[in-house]
Amino acid sequence: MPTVPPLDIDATVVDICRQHANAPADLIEILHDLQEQIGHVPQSALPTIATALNLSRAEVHGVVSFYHDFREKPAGAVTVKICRAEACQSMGALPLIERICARHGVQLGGTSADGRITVEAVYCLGNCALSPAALVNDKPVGRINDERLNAAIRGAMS
Amino acid sequence: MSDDIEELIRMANQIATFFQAYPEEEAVNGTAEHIRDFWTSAMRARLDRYVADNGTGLHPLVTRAMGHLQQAA
Amino acid sequence: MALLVEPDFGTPKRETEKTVTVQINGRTITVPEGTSVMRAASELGQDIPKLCATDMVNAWGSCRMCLVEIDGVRGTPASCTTPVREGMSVRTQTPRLEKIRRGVMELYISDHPLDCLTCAANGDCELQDTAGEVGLRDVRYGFQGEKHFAEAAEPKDESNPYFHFDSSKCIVCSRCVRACEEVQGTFALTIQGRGFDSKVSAGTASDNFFGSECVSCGACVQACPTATLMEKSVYDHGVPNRSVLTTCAYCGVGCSFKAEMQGDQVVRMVPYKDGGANEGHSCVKGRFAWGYATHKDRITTPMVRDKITDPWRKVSWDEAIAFAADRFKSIQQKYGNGSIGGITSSRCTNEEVFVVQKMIRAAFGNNNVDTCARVCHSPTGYGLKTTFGTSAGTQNFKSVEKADVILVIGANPTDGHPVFASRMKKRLRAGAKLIVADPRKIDLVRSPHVSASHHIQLRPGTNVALMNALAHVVVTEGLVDEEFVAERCEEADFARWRAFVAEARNAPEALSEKIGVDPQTIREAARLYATGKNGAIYYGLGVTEHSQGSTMVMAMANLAMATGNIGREGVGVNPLRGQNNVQGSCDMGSFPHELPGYRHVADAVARGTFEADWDVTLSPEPGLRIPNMFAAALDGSFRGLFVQGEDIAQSDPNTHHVTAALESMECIVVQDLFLNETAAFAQVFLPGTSFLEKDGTFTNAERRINRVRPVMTEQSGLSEWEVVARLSRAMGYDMHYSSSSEIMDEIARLTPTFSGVSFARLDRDGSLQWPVNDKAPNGTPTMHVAGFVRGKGRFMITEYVPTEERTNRSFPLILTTGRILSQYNVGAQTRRTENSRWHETDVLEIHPFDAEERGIADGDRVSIQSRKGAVSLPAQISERMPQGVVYTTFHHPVSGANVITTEFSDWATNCPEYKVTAVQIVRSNQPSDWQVAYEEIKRTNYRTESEPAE
Repeated sequence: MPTVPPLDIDATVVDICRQHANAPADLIEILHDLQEQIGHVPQSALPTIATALNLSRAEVHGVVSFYHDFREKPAGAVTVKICRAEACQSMGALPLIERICARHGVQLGGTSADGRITVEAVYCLGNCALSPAALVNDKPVGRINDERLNAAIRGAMS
Repeated sequence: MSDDIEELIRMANQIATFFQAYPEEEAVNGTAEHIRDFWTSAMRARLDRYVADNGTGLHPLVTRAMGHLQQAA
Repeated sequence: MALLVEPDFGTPKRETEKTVTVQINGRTITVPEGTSVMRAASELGQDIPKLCATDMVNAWGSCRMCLVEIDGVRGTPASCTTPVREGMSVRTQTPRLEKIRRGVMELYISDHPLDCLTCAANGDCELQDTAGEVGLRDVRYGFQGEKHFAEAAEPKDESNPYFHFDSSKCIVCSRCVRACEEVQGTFALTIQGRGFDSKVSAGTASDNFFGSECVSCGACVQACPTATLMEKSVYDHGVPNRSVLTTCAYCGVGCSFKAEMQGDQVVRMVPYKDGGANEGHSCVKGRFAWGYATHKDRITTPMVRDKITDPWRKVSWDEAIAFAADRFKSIQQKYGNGSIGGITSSRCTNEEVFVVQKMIRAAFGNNNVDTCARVCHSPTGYGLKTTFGTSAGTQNFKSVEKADVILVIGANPTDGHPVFASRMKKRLRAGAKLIVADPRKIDLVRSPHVSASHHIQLRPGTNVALMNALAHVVVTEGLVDEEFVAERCEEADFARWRAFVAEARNAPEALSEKIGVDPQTIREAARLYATGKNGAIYYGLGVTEHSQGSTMVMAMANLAMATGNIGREGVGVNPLRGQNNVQGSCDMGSFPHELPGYRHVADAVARGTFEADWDVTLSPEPGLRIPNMFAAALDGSFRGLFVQGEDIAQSDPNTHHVTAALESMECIVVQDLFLNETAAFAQVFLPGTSFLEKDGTFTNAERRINRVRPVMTEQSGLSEWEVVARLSRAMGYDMHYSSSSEIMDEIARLTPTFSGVSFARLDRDGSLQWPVNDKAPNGTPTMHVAGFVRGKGRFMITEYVPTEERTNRSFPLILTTGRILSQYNVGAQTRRTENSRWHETDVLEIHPFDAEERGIADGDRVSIQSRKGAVSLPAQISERMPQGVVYTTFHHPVSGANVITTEFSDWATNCPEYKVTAVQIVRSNQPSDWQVAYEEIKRTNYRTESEPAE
């Protein structure tokens, strides 16, 4: 669950790195832990991670920016990830994405102005048998249509 | 100048302090050779005069080394 | 010569004895095992088109341009990532390969601007060349790729003063990223994003090049195949059209460069891949900071004046030389032969230094010659000569590639010797262990991908105690290489040393409090060095600039001998020399007790050789060292000084004492590029030449003699050696040379270790490491291989004697001094370049606790007071410092670091104790009295008479 960022992000970052014994090989796990704990990977955390792991700032930036899953800014209260890989596209994912974006007033990949929802594309959730597929706050939802997806979003918001 | 002899005394004592780790004869020779090899004759003469005057404040090895150099000369 | 384009074999050379024989396009070649197909083909003279490969970095295999066909192998593998196998048969050019390459090139060009004619890389662009090679005629996808066009692309990053970054021209080959990692070892660059969004980024998204971790070494610029990373000088002037091979004039690494020129204008400096010291790498000083050579402050006309408060008067060469000679002669008539002398410069060539010492010995008729090495590495000469028999380091730089444990003492290579540091870091990344002994947490202690196994954060001034403690562990824990010692070293001296260091008072536990480091760290470090196979010691001025500098050098030599770490690759005792020609200036007889080749002036045989050759009688008496000169000046017996390319008023300790001595002299002649601090006290100024105008040789820290070649004519109209020869003649000694090559011939004739050296030989072989003589006709990369130069290695007793400079309640902190990457020495050169952007003022680094105790905040101006004087500087609070120790650099004259340093010096050589000064630090918002007086001198002593109106 994305939570309110703690006051001292730096201390959190240092702590997470220490839990991974400041091992450079654990960089990706550290980034996951950070996103898990504070909801995103802020730019300001990169130099701290670099110092802890004895990597350059550039190296950490290279890894963070490579993975779309790491977000620089906090997401909305609900994050919806809709698959737009082949199977889901063939089952109507694209118009569905358009409708969900319009309904909540967000751009794909962005967060609504009220901060309630973020809609993102993903490329295959391994759930092709139940296409089109989505994740709502990391919970898989299969065979989505407008109703099923909205219900899942409402459920997550409540 | 008084300044100048103090400087020479300090330099000579420093040299003796290095060589004092050696048995005395070697230490005297080491100190003497070092002063002979690296000091100008004016500096040596200045120190000689000082030894002849009273030599206070000099490491005993320096006094012996200067005597040694005079003999050799 | 025309523009020298070095071959690019695509992938690095493999160093192995094992070879593999392959067929490429029907021709046979034998190469070391592990060589890539690309390199083998290139060595055959059959280059394969490539974009992401270059031989300074490992193969990457991303551009898909270098595909080949191999018999029995499916598909078309990339030749850069495919190593040769015995019997392999390769085809590099077939219709299928042509088609694939053209197709790939189409994709590149569809997303690359076509402004070739106005592009800065026009004529020097590998993308353009490769498009030509593959016969690209059309691009089916159009030319409007979305990433790389003016409206879509980001603005150029112009933040670095020397090069720009234009991502619209980037083909994302990663050569820059890899060069930064593999060659420089800084890891400042990355590829951000993925797929079409991939982009080279310096640091994080919020950084630009200047603000990133980039150290501006330029390896990325050199690696870039397009105009993406490009020198601004090339952008401004166009591509160069001729090259001159020469040697950098900054630090003791002595990098080889191609000066790339248009006419007599330098367009850029490119490190030379065949340069033995640097193998194609450089730092921000060598590659970029050469603009001082044509700076408006350069003085190119001789000048004289009667009094130092008079304005300078521009005169002809003849008048200036006659003026100097008359004054020197009249001083000698009045005060005796020994009343004048001279100082040689480690920034000048061997030939220039040789003639100055010759002038002093032959024309002045005394041995009052000393050199700036007095204040840096004179203890190295004494210590290594005493123990090993030669006043020089034992290895070449390449040796570090074979080291297993590296002990760095009192040196900060990433700042002071950056190109060597890159070579060292490469070895460290490959697994060698590192021990750092330094009061500061220098970058090598911990920086990306480098981490010292032990940081011995010793108290300044306790080096010898530390070495004795390390030696104690080696001796008492049975870690002595008994076989080596028995065979190679003096038995009695060793036995005595062994008993000495084994005494309980030399145990780490006994010395730990003095050193300020826990005994366990010392024990572990000693075991690591002694048992880690090849142990190599690298050291700098943190070793030599102490009252026990010479003792410390001998203590390190002892440790190396006791553990058998001498006489092969990967080991040794290696001084990192401060200036480009410290080694050479010492070799050339710059010391008052030694003739060229380190032969004592009292040695009648050696002296006789010089007397016969020079047709003059030479004094057998040692002359004055620099500090003795100052003392003699103050007592009135020393009145005239010739100063070659050195700034003693800024660089020598205890400024008050030095300036008082200089003021009391009657004639000071300064030969320099600029009116430096010493020139304020001079009556004659003889304009010197920059390294871009010199013809001669420099000898670097690995004893490598490198050619320095002029790229432009002397700005002053005369070479420095010619000026000295004329002054000699005016003094009454007939000195004539028609070229500097003739001077080298004389050096070779008179100096046994140089007997095989000549310009012709150097021009043919590139460089030579002395000794070069009948015994070692091709030079000597590693010394003491079969035996020590002195016969048997001599262990010396190294009793720890604390310095007389002590802290107390009035002066509770220790000040130590050092260097920073972007600036060099007294800053005369680098301050006149854009390098100052990285270091605009000297600062005082202080530990947070010491700062807090004194109410000092970061950036506050503070006064640094010692028993000798006071200066004020901005404070920088720094976790690098231990408590109780503060640190500064002395690159800016107004900082006056030497106003506070003391007159204490090394017992054997009088090398000043720059590294230990007891000080107090207090907040202050104004310059010190000295700094105010300094500004006043600047107003009075630097005036030049205005030109008469026409």
